[in-house]
Amino acid sequence: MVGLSLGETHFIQGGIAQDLRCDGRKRLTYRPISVETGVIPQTNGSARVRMGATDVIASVKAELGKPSLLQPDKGKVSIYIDCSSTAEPAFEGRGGDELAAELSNALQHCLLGGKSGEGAGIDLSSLIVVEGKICWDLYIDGLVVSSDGNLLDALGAAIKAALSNTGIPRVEVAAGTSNDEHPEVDVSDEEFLQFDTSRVPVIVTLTKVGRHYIVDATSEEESQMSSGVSISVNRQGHICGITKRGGVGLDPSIILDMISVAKHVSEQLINKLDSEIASAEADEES
Amino acid sequence: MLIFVISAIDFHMPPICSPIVRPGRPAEASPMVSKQLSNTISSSRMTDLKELSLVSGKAAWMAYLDIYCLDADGALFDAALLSAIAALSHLQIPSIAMNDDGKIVLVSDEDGQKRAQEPVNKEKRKLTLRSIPFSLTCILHKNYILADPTAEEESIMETHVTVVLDTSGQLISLYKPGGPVLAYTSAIQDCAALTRQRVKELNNFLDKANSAMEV
Repeated sequence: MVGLSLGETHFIQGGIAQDLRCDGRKRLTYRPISVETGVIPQTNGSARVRMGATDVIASVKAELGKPSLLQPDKGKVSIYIDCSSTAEPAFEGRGGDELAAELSNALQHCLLGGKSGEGAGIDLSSLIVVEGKICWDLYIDGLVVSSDGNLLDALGAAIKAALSNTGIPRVEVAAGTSNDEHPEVDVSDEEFLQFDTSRVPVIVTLTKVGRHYIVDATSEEESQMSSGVSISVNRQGHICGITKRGGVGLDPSIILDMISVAKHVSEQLINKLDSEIASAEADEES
Repeated sequence: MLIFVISAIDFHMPPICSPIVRPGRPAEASPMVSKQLSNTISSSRMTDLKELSLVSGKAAWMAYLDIYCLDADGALFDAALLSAIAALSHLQIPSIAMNDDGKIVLVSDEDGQKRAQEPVNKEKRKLTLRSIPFSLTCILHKNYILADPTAEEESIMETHVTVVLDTSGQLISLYKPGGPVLAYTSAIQDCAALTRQRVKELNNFLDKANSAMEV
């Protein structure tokens, strides 16, 4: 993206101040969102989400592993984000590493909850095969293909869609095994279990420009931001995580406003996303 | 005196593409495929690098070629080469001008007020592709040849042969990284024959895809 001229920055800021952005949107309107599932056949689940020119892919891979000693009754999930150099020339080489790490950490906090596993979007207990011995390890990978702002919301949506698309093979444990031995397991090739993704939150990022804040900022709008707050909200309206970036501090009352607005916006976003995911799954089956 | 800038070619394998690839350490195949791609594209003389030159001794386009593997299921080099060629055949070089300070400025197609600047390229244009290289990877096993192997087949077999021919029938490269099966003349000739057939198929495929995109 080439640097913006003074006239362009005034145009962007003025548009936001008057609730009429460069592309005609209001401050709290998302760009069109499209969802595609099953885009990567070798994974257990995958999805592609586009928000305007922002384009991201998420995939979920499942492997059998050993539960953590600290939580023998829960499976393990890890999230990794990769920023493609096709998205932006600045991501060439290691240029995208810092942003990718920031995105990975934010998504980890928003979707996986604390170290105890409470508040996770996925019920980690459902990943247990044999308590203390065998569990499913989930690897969630995200790839930023094209970057035009609001990567965190797009990645959150893609991961939610990928989890909806995920099928975990059914596992039969052989009977008669002694408690001290490693259990024998038979992994099915035909039967799959699907996740309950109703608790997976969506992420709403509010970007402050001038005296107002907006949702779904483009990269040009993000270049004018003083700070941004990302809030993940689940279907029950509970806040699952909050992260802030940008150097300028915010008044607490503004943050409370942002939380309230994010909660309101997330209702529409969740409904929109769920219907898109449902139609994408239907398309895939036909 | 003309200055050319060689394209930088990178083949990336993010963790998304295979259970084997984990974050942190790059996949072993990645630099191998990158090197093979660089050698093949430079050897084939597919593009005239002079087309990337703008002002002699002063300015030139630098082309970055980035290929991301989304799902690794065998014959990665073949897929990477095909995608590189498709991308280059779709490449559009914007029109530019040099202003009074000697700096390069992008010219909008509609911008009539910038006529004072002398355009270096008068319009958007595409690269001219001459002989286009295509590749086919085969596995040699006893007396059999397996064309276009999957990842599972590749992991079991040890002898791979990759033949690259261009559209005029010239051999661009032959790559056989070891393996217990010896590459007899007859086997190589069979692989080359399969590749020749593959070149025709892929060339037709690419023409159709480009035609569909231009409409």
